[in-house]
Amino acid sequence: MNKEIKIKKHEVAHHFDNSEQEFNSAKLGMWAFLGQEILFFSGLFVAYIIFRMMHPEMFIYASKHLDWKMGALNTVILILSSFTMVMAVRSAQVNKLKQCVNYLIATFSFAGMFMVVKGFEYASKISHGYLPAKFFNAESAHESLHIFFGIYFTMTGLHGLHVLVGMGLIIWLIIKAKKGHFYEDYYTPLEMVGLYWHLVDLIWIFLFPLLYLIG
Amino acid sequence: MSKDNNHGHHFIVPVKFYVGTLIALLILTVITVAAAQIDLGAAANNVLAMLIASVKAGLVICFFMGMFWDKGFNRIILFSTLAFFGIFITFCVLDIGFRGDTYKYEKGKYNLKQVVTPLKENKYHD
Repeated sequence: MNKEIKIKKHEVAHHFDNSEQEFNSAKLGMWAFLGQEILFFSGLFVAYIIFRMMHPEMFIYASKHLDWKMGALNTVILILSSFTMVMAVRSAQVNKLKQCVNYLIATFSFAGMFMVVKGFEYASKISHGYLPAKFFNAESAHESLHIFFGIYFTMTGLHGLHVLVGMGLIIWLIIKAKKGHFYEDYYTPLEMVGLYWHLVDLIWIFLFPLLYLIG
Repeated sequence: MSKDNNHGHHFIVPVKFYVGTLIALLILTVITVAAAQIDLGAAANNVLAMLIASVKAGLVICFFMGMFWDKGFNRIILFSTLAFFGIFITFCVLDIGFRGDTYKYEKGKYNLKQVVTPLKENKYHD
C-alpha cells in the first residue's frame, strides 16, 4: 500500500487534435448532461411548489414529521464530500496520486454515511406508515398528508438514487486512480464525476430547507 | 486563466479557494437552520431560506464546479438551463397563485353577463 503509484500515460483519442480539446469536449458534454439533470429535477421542484401553494398548512404540519437534525447532518456530510471530491481532482492535477486515491475513498465514505442516515430516516417514516400516495397508512390531522410524503419520497428518492450512482462512479475512479491513470495531463473522468457529484450536493442544498425547515 | 501555467493547459485552483468555500458552506448551513427557528412570517422565512440556498448553490457552482474559471460555452448551458427553470416556475406560480383572481374579476374585466363557471357545474355535458 505504501509504495508510490506509477503514472500510466494517457493517449489522446485519435479523433481529437490534442488533450485540451479532448478535455473541453468532455466537459461541454458533461455540462449539457448536468443542464438536463437540472431540468429533470425542475419538474419535481415545480410539483413541490404547486402542491405547497394548494396546501400551505398541510406542508408546515407535515414538515414537522421530518427530523431536521438528520437533514442538517446529511447537508454537512454532502458538503464535506464535495470538498474531498475537489481535493481528489486537485491531487491528480499536482501528481499526488496516492493522495488522490485517499480523497476519493473519503468521498465514497461520506456518500455511504449519507445513505445510512437516509436509510434511518426512511425506516422511521415507513414504520409510522408515512408512505407516498395510496400507500399512506397513518392517522393524521390533515387529509392531504399523503401528498407531502409522495413528494418527499420522490424527491429524496431520486436524489438518493443519484448518490448511489455517484458511489458506483467513485468506485470506478478509485480503481482507475490506483492503477495510476490520473495525473496532471489526464484527469478527465475525475473532473466529470466531480461535476456530477457537486450537482447532487447542489440539489440537496435546496431539498434540505424546502422539506425539513418549513414552518 | 487557462494559459497561466506551462505544464498542461488547466488552471490549478489554489487550495484556499476550496477550503474557503467549504467553510462558507458550513457557516451558511448553520445560518439556514438558525434562520428557520426564528419566526419572520411564512413568506419572509421562505424567501430567506431560498436566498441562503441560492448563495450556497452559487458558491458550489463558482468554486467547486469551477464555473468561475470556466469557458463561456459551459456558462451558456448553465445559464440557459437556469433561465428555463425560472420560466417553468414563474408561469406555474402565476397560474396557481392568481387563478382565483381571474375567476373573481372576469365579470368586471370582460363585461361578461355572468361569472364563468367550471364546466361540471353546467348541464352541457350531461
